[in-house]
Amino acid sequence: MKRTALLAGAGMALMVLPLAGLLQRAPWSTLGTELASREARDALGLSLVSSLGALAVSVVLGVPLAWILARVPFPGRALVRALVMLPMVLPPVVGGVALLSAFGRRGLLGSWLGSLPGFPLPFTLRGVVLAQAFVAMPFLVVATEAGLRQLDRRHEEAAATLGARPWRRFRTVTVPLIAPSLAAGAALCWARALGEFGATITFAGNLPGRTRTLPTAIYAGLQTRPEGAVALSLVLLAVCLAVLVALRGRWLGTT
Amino acid sequence: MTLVAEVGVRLGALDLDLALEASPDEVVAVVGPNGAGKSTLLRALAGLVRLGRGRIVLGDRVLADARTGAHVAPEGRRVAVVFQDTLLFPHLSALDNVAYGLRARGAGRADARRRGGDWLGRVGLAVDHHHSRPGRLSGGQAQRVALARALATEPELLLLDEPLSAVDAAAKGHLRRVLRERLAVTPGVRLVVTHDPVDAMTLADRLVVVEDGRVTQEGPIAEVTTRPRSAWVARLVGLNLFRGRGEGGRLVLPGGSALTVATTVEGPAFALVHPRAVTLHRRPPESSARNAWAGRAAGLHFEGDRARVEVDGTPPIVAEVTPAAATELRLAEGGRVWVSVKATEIDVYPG
Repeated sequence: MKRTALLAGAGMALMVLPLAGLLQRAPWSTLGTELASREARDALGLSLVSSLGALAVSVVLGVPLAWILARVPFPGRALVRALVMLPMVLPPVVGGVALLSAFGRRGLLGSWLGSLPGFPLPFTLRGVVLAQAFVAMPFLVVATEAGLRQLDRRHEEAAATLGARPWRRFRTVTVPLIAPSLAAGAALCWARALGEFGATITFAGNLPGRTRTLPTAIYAGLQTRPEGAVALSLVLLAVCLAVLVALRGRWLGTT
Repeated sequence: MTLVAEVGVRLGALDLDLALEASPDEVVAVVGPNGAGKSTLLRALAGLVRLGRGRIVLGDRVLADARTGAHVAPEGRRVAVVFQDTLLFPHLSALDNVAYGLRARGAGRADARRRGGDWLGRVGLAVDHHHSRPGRLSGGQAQRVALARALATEPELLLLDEPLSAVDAAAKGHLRRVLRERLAVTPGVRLVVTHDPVDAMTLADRLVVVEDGRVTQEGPIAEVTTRPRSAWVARLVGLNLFRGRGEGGRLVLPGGSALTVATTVEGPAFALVHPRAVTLHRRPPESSARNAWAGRAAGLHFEGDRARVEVDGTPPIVAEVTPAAATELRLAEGGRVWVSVKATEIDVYPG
């Protein structure tokens, strides 16, 4: 019992001490000016735009995907589900290399996509969005699929008998009933996109004002202006805590 | 606008295969034990289950035909369902639940709400509850909203699945009255699925008995209840029913025993015995009754001013005696009893 408590304490220290270190090193007095600097504002803005873009892409593509996985039986569904969840465990830098191999100038698709408007993708803001969506979408798909599976489908049947066509049923019955799952999935997806580093820097680079998001700005700043990097780290920490608090009823329980 | 349906659906252990006709001049109750396929029949009529065999025609419109593969989706049929557990949309107010079908069929928001409010008034839901979510309504109130929601779409075929089963006893009588009133003034074909004989008899004009996926009997209520053709119906109305073969003045039962009857009947036949016509004795009877056999008093239930006794014998039978007689015969103790039934008390009809 005593040994268990000791190990548990060490485990907690492992989680908490780095955060304490971050708070201790934070340039509290100059936090405002640090965050108001040109680089910080650029990175904050880019991160906000790209992470919301990745969330939008994830919702538009991920909800239909979750629907198919939850509702349509087809051979190989388990395999498709595993592939969709792969980015959750794949090292993000490998995801970045994979994206380059597919959408890079000489990639699988990139070579003939390159001439279309809006392309090429690497080292552009659109590339950042793509990299973030690649890594973050599984969170939305998994939560939405779980919500769809738990839904009492007879409510959709009742809507059908009242004359509602499939799209109306989806909008007016399915979505409101899975809203908690959808919101939780969206929050996790957005937080993951906001913190995305490995795939982004590999696929979209670290160009100030163009592809330098908060995490890449922190990484770059640590070598030149550590206090700025710490200030930006605090922003991400605060956002993550806020997401966690918003989801507390769902995952942290009430005790 | 008559409903003519032949419904064949296989679903797990259920093999539903029956024909059903219903006209707009009558309310039809589909009754039968749980698991008989009543709800599946209703789902097939609503288009929520595809037919394996048969066809469904409402008026001059084919809603489904297994042979051609035709299947009109639920939203394309003018069929409304009052579901057993209401299935009200939990995220919408009572009013918006009722307006839902109107909106889906093209009504504007304000118009749908106004008409929804009218319907809620017709089923007797107090105005203070119009804006309540279903979770805040009682079982009886929720069932009214479900009824209004179905009626508001002005369906050609109205289906009610156990409309009173989720309602507590206190609210049941009142709701039954509301249902009866609304069903009477609703045009179109009306079908009530129930396992409760009281609901069936108060709401419907005609009974269709479904057992094990088949129609075992149908007809006007009076006919079905006075001449039951299945053990389930007989039990439902509290009568003893025996099925056997008529041989002159006797009905030979499957167990090998026979009943002496007053009318001559040949071939498959039913014998109906009212429990009141069954006399019990503690000693072998010396009466003039032609039918007497021994058994064991297996169960005793008091219902109002009567006691019903189940007698285990060949054949088994239910007797109804006065509580005084039950005490005098010490029926609560169980044990051996003799049963006698006069031949003239047995109603015999061809099976």
